[in-house]
Amino acid sequence: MDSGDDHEEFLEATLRHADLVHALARRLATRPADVADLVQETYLRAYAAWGRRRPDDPGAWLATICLNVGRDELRRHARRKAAVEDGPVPDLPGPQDTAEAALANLRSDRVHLALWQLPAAQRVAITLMDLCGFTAAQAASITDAPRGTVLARVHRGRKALALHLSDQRDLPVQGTGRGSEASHEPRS
Amino acid sequence: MSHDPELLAAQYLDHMPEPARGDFEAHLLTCDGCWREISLAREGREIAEGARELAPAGIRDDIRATITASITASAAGRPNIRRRHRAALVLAVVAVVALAGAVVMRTPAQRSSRSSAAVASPRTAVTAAVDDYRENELPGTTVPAQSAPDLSSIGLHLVGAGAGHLDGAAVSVFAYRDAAGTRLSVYQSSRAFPEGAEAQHLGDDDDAWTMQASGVSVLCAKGAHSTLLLSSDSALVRQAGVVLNVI
Repeated sequence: MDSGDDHEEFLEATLRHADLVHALARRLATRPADVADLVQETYLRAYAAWGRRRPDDPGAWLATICLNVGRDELRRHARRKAAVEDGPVPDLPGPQDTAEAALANLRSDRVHLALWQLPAAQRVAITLMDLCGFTAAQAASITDAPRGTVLARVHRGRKALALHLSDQRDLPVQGTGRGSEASHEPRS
Repeated sequence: MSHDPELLAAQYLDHMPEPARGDFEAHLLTCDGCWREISLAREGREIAEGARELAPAGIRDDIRATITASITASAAGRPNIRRRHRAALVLAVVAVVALAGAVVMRTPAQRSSRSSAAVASPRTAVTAAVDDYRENELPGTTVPAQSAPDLSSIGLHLVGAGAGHLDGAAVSVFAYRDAAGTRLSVYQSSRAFPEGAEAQHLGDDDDAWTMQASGVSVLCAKGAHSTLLLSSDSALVRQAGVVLNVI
């Protein structure tokens, strides 16, 4: 197989997963401007590995690479001691947005920001399962964590989102104090 | 009952097999703690799922351009292009596409249907190349086997590359653009490009000729490979011919 066929086969197998890679990159990049770079780097690394092996599940494979790229970027930022923002700044609705679209954008931005309030492990678990549609078993494989750990992370993250974004702010939080993430439980 | 509502709720919402599932559902009716866990987690899941989104339009074109650019750079002996250069290259490709008004990099499958049409209505390789230049198209998305010629000395940078067929002949095409946005295409083939009826030879050189077609300047030269240069700027075509040492 020549490189042209190889490259077309790669693009055909992986481009259909661009939405999930982008969704994951948005929850890994500390600056909105870095999201596109993260996506591109993920695909470049994937293409470099494509010649060595063909993944059974290209979506999960790309998600694993994207997570690794995201971690590398975070380490690089940390080494440079660059000022890392707490989370992305939401896009303000433009003047051309309709009122309905602007409200939808604000809702989406609220969820996005609430996700950034979560510990990284919970944010990644929710992104993989609820935004990208992976099962708990797939998310466990992608993050190299036990399935029970992934379930606990996604459960705590969902509760935190509900408490952040719903009107039920007075509901008490149950079951705090288990595992290393206990300190990250949402404040009621 | 001594139990962990958080763990039970997490398992229930993911996959809890029978009969444990039935037992837990019965338990839910009597346990406020488990009920709250389930309610909150369901609400959070709905919120998260409501934030599902599509990637921005054009991201697939950007990825395709990045991969193609990396392969082209690698073939040219620049295996490790820096990210910013890569981004610039992608931007250049996107800019060319945007200027053309549409994404026109056809797939080989789409291209083959066009080739069939060409058989039904024969046209020469040169007129096909002129059409491609005017429509800002490449003959396919296959990566060329050879590396892209370096035309940076005359201010041209590579914005795309592709290999395919032009009127039945295998060709590699490299698309360039200068800072002012003027495009130049370089076609290379092991087969000679047929001379156009309006062709004028360059001086006494039987191996090089030029012509104008539909506002596009064409220069053809024969050497180890036949080379066809096309641009809306005739001076740029000549300069490229000199740099490539084909005239």
